[in-house]
Amino acid sequence: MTGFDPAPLLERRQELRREFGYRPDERVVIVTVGGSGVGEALLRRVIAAYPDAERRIPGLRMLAVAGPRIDPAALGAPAGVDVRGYVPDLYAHLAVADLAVVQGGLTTTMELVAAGRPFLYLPLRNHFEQQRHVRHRPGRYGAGRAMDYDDSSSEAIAAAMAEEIDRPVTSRPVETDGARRAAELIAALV
Amino acid sequence: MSAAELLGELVADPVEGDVPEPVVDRLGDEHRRRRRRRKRRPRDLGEGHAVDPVRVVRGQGVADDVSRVMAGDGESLVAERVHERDQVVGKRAGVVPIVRLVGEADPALVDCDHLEVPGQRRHHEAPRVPVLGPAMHEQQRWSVTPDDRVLAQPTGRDIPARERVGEPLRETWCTRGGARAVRRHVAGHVDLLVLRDPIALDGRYGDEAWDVDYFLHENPELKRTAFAWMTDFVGWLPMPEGGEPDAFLTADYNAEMIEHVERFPRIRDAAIFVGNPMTSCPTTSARACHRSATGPSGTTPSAAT
Repeated sequence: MTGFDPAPLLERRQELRREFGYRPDERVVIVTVGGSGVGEALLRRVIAAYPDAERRIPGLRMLAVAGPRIDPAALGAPAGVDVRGYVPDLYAHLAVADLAVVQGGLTTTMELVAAGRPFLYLPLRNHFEQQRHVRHRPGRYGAGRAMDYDDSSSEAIAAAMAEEIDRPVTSRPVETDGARRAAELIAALV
Repeated sequence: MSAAELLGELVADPVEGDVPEPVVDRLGDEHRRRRRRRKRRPRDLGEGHAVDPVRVVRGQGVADDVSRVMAGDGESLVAERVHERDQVVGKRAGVVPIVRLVGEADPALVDCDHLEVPGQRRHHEAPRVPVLGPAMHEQQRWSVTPDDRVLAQPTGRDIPARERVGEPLRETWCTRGGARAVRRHVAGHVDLLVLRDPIALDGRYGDEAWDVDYFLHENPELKRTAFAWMTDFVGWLPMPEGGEPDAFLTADYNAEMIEHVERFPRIRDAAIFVGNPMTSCPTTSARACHRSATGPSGTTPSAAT
């Protein structure tokens, strides 16, 4: 499903965190809304939750990934929030983070499920794939916490972050043979 | 490829066939006044490229204003270049090529080598990455894909996905994997997506490439390579806010895809669901939904779209 095996990442979790510049005492929360501009409102709302979340989560370090369609400088993030336009190997950052707050894309959410990370996701309101198909899939693995954007104030998001970051993850493991099986089907056509 | 090159390439390969005596439908005075009042914008085609000229399609005047979007603020620009009979010489004198583009033919949209979309926000500097230092990745330039059409265009506007997917029908498209897709308006209101492969392909593998899949089923004679269709969800579903119209349209779209597959099973050489049955959202059969929406009730086995 994810296109990568999360096991080596998880085995090197502490080493990767050092490589990424995350200190041992930091609680790393990554906020990412995909590669389009439609997630700007969500990004702003989660960034606005930072002061409240910082009080609730000692050592909080928030990394907000703006992506190619949102100007990082225009987000007006407060000091303490690290806003970047692009993070290479974001999946690896997500795999070693303490929590993620994302939109409702299937790839990102399933990467988090596969890596066994706690996360909040807020699907686009009228996006049937995010609202119905994607909600169904992490739910079947027992992973992630879905929130409705309209009902989720910055305060509610900060509270949910504090609740989820220390919650033990008990989700089902994600299959790792999907790429091989797809390759077998496609190889037969060449 | 520049706009001029694109126009030149398409004009050099015009619609074949004899065309009856053209009926030229020139725009009225009001349209001409509107055109003069309109400020030129960076994306307008230059002089010599007819932005708002004569409408001739297969020798028929086009009286449908809706089909041609007048350039206005915030609106896509549709340019049509029409060769009238006296502009075409030699054996092509009976040919009336029509090229219809939305906006200037951005190289970003036409040529997959440098996918930056002018006018859209982008990064102006390489972001810094901890430890690794400045980084620039191809993904930053690879900003236009069919999937992006679902989400990329609006900022802060929550548009139903169904409508977002419908929008590309007016645009020049680009597909992944080095293949270029250029849309041509050839005759009447028939749109033809021409898949131009820079190299000979052994196969085309489309992960939720809805446009390519739809196009190939509508134009099965243009299939040139093996085609593997992949998706991680099955079935378009209505959202409550869309009400009955959304329910009908999504059911109809699902039914259309099922009919496509039934009619031309040879188009998809492989149809791969990325997931397992446990993760497939249980839905009512699209056809059953369609029947329900159109009148008679009934049930059918669920079918993957």
